[in-house]
Amino acid sequence: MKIIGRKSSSNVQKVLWCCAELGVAYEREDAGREFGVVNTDAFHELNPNRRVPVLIDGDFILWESNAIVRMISAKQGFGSLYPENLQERGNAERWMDWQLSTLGPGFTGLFHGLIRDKPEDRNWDAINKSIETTQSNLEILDHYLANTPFVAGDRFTMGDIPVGIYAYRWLTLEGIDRKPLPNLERWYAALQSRTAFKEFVMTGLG
Amino acid sequence: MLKIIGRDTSSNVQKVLWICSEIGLPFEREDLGGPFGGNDTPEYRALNPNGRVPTIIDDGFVLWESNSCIRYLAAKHAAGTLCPDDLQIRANAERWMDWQIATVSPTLVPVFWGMVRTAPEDRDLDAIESARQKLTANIAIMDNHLANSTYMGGDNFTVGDIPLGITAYRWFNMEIDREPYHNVQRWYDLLCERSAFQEHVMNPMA
Repeated sequence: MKIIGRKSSSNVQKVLWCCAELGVAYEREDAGREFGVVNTDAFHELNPNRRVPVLIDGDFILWESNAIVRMISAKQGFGSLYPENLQERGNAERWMDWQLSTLGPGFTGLFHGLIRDKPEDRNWDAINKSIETTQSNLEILDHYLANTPFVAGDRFTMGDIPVGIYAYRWLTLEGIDRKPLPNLERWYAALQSRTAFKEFVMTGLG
Repeated sequence: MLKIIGRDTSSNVQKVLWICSEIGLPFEREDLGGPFGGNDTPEYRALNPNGRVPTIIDDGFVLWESNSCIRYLAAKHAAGTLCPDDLQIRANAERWMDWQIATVSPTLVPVFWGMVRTAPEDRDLDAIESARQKLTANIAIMDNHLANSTYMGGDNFTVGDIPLGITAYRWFNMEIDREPYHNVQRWYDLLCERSAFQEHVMNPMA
């Protein structure tokens, strides 16, 4: 199995973290940002959407990071990362969709502004709006985590992966005024004790 | 009985209504959102802290995020058909659901709001046209995929056709310039033959 995409991408990290949790072997090839590749014709054949990651497993090709995480989990982690119980699975998937629909788009402005733009190029209105939106989004997750150890229930599942990566980024960024999120921080501490999270997510911001 | 909360003009509510009709699953629906308001009441936020529609309640189990809702209902009531058993086929279908959230929706929303929810004299035509071009690029990606695939997820209609099917209805029915995309047209014509699509999606846009 091959994974194409730079390991600094949050979307690639979802897949690497998932594979490490399940002990799935793969080879990885760099693509995206400083590595380029995504604008080549060969990459376009694999993924017309031109984003990383892409998974290649024999003649099967898949892109969209959350779909890749669900498929690897269903195949190699049925009953663990991919809950057998449909309500537990629904809860896990809901927080994966919420990262795509809500948390991710709200976070882009602050991440690009503070990490990727030069200080003199920063659009502070956009950054501050993104900080405010993200704080408010994470309060939703914090509130939910008041009654559950992990997002889908009592145990770690695939549902913790996309939001876990954003929690790392939010709690690690310097120079932002964060209000406390006690339940989210408790859950985040549990993620930090996982070797797969340390190895593939807690690797700096870039 | 399954309860669905959300106005029936919402594309995200329509996903759930459409799949219920495909399955033949009875439901009751309560209007909320848009002109009906109610998103911010403490009662609704207790069910759905994200404040959007739809929310479903299935025998006491509360779920929100429309794509998670339809995957849950498909897995529960249509395993092997709308929710494919084969994991590669399932992932292929689900990829197009994630792509609708992450990529297509941000390009459709400005066009839809501009053309359907804004009075002609208040329209920002440059912004609408810029979004329309991005939306068109996404329709072209679908068209290329559908050149070799009857439905988004392969030979059969699956959960993967639902989110983009609603996008396609809007694409074909908004008063905008449309480049011809024959494969999308062929697939859309198949959807238009489905009574569930006729009943819940092919309605006046609001």
